[in-house]
Amino acid sequence: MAKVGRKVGYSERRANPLARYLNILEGKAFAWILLIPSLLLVSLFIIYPLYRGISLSLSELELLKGPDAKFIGIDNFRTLLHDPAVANAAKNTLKYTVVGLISQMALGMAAALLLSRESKFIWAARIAVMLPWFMPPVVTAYMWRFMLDAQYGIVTILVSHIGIDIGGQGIWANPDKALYGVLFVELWRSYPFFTLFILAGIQGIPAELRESTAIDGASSFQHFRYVMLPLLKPVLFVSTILEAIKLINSPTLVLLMTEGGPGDSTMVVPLLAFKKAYQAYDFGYASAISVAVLIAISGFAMVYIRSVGFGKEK
Amino acid sequence: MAVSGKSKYAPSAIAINVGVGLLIAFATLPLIWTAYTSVRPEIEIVKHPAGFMFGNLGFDAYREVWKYSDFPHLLGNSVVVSFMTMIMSLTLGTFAGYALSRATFGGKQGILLFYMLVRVIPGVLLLIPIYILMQKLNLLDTRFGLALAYTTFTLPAAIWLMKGFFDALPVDLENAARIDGCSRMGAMWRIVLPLVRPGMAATGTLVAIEAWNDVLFALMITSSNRARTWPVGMKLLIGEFQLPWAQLTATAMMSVIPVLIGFGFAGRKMVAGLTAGGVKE
Amino acid sequence: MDSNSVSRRKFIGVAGGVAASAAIGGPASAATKKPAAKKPAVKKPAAAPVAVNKPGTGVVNYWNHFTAAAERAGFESVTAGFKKASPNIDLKVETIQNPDWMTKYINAVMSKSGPDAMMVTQARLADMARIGGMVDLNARAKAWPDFNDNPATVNNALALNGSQYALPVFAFIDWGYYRPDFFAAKGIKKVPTTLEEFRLAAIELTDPTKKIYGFGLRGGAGGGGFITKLLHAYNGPIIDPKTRKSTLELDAAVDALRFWVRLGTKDKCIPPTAASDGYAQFMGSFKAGGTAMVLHHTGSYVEITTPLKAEIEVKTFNYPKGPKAEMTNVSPLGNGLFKGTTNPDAGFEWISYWASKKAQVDFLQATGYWPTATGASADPFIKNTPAFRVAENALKIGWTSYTFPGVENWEINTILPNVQKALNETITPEQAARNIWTELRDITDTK
Repeated sequence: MAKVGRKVGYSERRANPLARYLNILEGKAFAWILLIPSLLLVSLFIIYPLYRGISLSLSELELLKGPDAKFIGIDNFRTLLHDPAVANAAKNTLKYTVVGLISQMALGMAAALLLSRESKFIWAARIAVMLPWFMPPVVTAYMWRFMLDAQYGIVTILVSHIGIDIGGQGIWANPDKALYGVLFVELWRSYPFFTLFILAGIQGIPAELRESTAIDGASSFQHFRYVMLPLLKPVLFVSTILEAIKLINSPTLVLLMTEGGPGDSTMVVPLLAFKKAYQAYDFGYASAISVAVLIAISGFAMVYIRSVGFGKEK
Repeated sequence: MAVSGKSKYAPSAIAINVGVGLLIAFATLPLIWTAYTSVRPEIEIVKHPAGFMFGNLGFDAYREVWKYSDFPHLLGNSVVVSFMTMIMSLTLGTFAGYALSRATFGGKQGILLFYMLVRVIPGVLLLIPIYILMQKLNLLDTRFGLALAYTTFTLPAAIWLMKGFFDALPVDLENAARIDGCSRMGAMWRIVLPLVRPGMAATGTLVAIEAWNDVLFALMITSSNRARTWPVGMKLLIGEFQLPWAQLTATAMMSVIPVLIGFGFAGRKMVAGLTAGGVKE
Repeated sequence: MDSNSVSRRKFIGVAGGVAASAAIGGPASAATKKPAAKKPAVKKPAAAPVAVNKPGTGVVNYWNHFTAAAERAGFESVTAGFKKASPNIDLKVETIQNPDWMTKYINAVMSKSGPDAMMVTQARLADMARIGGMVDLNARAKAWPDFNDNPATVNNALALNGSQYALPVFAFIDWGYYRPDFFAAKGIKKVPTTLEEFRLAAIELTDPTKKIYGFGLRGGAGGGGFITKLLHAYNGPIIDPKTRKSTLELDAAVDALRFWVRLGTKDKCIPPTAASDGYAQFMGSFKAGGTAMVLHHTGSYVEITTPLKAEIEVKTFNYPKGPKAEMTNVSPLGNGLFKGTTNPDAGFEWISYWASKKAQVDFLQATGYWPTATGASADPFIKNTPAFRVAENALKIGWTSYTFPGVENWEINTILPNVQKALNETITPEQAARNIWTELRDITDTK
């Protein structure tokens, strides 16, 4: 396709027989041709899991009782509505997602603005700031537990010199702090995601617009609020939704750093579903929890999309 | 382009430099500590975990990790898989994102949501079906199979993000080109794509990182070093009882250093791509 | 047995803390390979299965969960020995981290594609058999002349309802480590033998000014198993071996939990971080001199005597005894065949090789994991390492661990969070005990 595209020049278009062919593809057909490969791939990978997940969520399948699934209607969903473990996990997931999202977005935005200035070595600064994002979460998790260890952690020792005491019980054994400990590490490793995309968004803003208000003498905050922010809206919208889904669905760091503990103070929904499936071998219930999450996220996403009008713009 | 040039020594410029410095410190100090730990003798770390001593530093831990991990091979797999994922996701994502940005037909929101479903489905529902699917396609324990799985999961992000970047470009640009006699394809290829380069670079980075960092699918779909990626090898190396600290931190550095080298070669250009976008004319 | 003396010196070297970290890496594995090279004379028993069971050829895909450096070194020497004994079999090894084990296993069972042979821990045996990916080995075991080299108690621990599902390769034998230098500094002469003595010693050894705690309690990941042992010590057997119903008394559970939780909430003789300390933390803190006693098993001996000098900075002791029974637990690890295997002959040849005395000794040298085969423990390595007297005693007093469907889940997802909450005083030990007790009755269908 690429080749064809290049061949079709401004003037030679009428003369080129291929161009006539392309002509047919204009409009909706053209859009569908671009869409179909990805739609096929995605369908291939989600139709079966979706079908299987939904049918399991309506069944009883406990591997310790037997290998066969028995249809039980919406019993699993009825159970989960009254399950305190699910309520607790949902509360933690909400906290993890909201706090995680706000902190990352704020820092990510600030970093992007700081790094958007052009100077000779800015590219090096940009790479340096994004480095934590390139480190696989497995090592990130272990390293930070080591550095934040209540007795031996370098961070614990350093901050004690400036009067902050995270020694004693420390972060990880304290049910009130553990989730925030993980959130801090999540912030450290994940905010560059926002930085990267906001930065890309800023770069996409025509230079005249970036400069004009500075010349006009508008204060930099007003410039940001009324010129930059509206232009960054699409990027902010998409990165927020992607990061939200990541925080809800794959809280890898929680799994690696606390495994839900101490007690159930950091238990989040996907971890609960995972434990129900692969530790309690209760696939029916685990599927029901997952389907409930799926419905909840899709619902929120739909409302969010509608409210922002993403995909409706002309 | 320069907001900077004019006011280099203004107080605001100093504040910005301090801010950038803080950001760099926040990101790199933990990494520097990691690097330092990785060259300390294990016994020192065990007895004085937070000690500052600069005698006896060495690369023993790296040698150990190298010996036990088949590092070059696994790293090669990681690079290949990430690269394949990036190419596939970016190609499909750019096409679909452009279509969804420019085309005017009903049900666009529906299609966008459909793509997003892949990311929304919780992992518990995916593991077994994906494994069975890969088995049927005969792609278990292959790099392509892994890249294909990653592509599926990174594609929605790529599509949504690219759509966002296309949306930010005025349609007038293409209309002008089309009035000049350019086909849709031609307009997209010659006019629009060069302008979304920063977006593509950012999206490509995201996609590659997701493939680079994943453990879950790599663990399920691969069963030998044939296709295993470095994070899986690393996870196994760390094991249930965890590696000695020096080796653990050495593995951490070994996963960051290749990225740094990669940026050293291609990255400067890529980051330059990030900055040089915008509307030049 | 002269071939062993080479490695013996190596092992003693390790035990003395001289060889340090180098021993965990290359040299140890090189040394342990030597006996394999000179094998022919000793090989006989290992070659025996050929006589009755059909000899195997072709590829054997094998799953193991060895990830520690010492384990890998030991495993290398075992596989090298097997290559010599059965050159026609191509062993392909896949290593899976323990926490991911059941995930992969269930995927394999559900998609009907898995390995030929795989490792089985005793605690997981019931779950793995119930989920249905294991092969009854009775006929093959009978045809294997060396089957009875492993004592009946050990073999039986890997059997369920009369089906032998796995052949043993070694046993996890509980023991604790303590700091003789810390004991001496406090003038404590007697190593605790009962839980009450243990508690008092832990209190005595605690010195907040020096940041030393008496007992490095593992309350984070992997800490649930201790409570099962503690419940047994307070109650006697918690499961009826015949009916498989719970025999745990609520009062005993309450006493056990009160004891454990009190160490943190009242006696303050455990690190305040205990509720989150997993292996890395409790071992790290002991190695750094932050705790005076820890409980683990023989598998960590080489690792712990690397930074700490054996007999001077670290000694071993038996788990303290409870009011009703011993806390010491012995748990064999074995290898079984996967149900879908297309190459059971070769698979069995491999798992029976490793169950043989020679392979078990090879493995011991690198790790300290206790061989189960009769006579293997007469090996000079064991004889000449004083710390192992404790393990020999543990074998006498210990009981084999519980395996009933759901036991792992109970330990991970019921016991552990409840104990953590009790340590953090968000619930009382009585509530924790009741939750644990109730759940055990539930999963064993006890009315």
